[in-house]
Amino acid sequence: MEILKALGATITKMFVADFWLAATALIVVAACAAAVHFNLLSGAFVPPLLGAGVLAALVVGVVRGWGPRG
Amino acid sequence: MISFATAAPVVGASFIASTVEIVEAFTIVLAVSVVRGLRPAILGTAAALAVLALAVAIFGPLLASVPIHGLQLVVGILLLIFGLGWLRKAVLRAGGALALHDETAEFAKETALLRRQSADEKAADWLAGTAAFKAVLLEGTEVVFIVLAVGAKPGLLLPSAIGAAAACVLVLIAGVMAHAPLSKVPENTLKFIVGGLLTGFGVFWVCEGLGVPWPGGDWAIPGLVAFYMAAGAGLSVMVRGRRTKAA
Repeated sequence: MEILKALGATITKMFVADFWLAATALIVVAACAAAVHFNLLSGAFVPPLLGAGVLAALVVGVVRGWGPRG
Repeated sequence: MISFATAAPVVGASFIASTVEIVEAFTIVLAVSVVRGLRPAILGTAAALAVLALAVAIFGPLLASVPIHGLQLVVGILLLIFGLGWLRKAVLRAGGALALHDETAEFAKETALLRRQSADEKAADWLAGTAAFKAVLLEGTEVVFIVLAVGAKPGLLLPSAIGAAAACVLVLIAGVMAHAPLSKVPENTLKFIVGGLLTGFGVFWVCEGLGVPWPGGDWAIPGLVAFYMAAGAGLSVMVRGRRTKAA
């Protein structure tokens, strides 16, 4: 039982070690998916939009982590 | 036919990520073998590898039955979140905002814990074997995810598995030769590289999964990896600079 709990914790930590980083990345992906699904953007703009959004998520994640609380 | 531009980052990502995880598992298994002998270390490791092999045997064929676009989207999102997490942590560690992982300290902690449990011989062997099992299972779960995720595109599972197997062999040889925790492995640098690789793969596959191909096809992968690694390097310099100013 303890091993199953540890396994669950490991899998959770793999993806949501930083909840806000994971949430920001998901929002970026969802925005791109919506843009494709509803034809809001030409397909050519989606890859750079996703790339830039992911970079923004990384920058925000690092800035949030560089304070005294880490 | 799988292009070099696709296969090389897959083998690289799988090899480097597996090296990081296997080094961590090796530290615990070594502590078990030093305190309680080889038997519980080998039995615990073998049992965990059997469970992991079973998981691969079950989930591998299941993945093959999922439509490719849906699979690439889901795996791309998971790789993206996983890779970003590693990249962020490696950037913060390189910038001095987070402490580096210390295998020697981890080994000392695990050894001390196992020695405290040594009063009853049989129970101590069982606990030591369980510790080895748990370490290999937990670190191995991450290896299995990485191997299956970066090898999710048809034809890429073999290069991905080769990368992980090579990491296993390398760590085992280095560990047996050193008979000490592999604390000289530049873990944060490897995590940084893997973070960049997995983030690049994730971004590429999310687009493929959405049905929007990257310009340049598979050759976009090395470009994306280089882009996120360069961004990470720039961010770690910024973090270090900010901490130097604050000190």
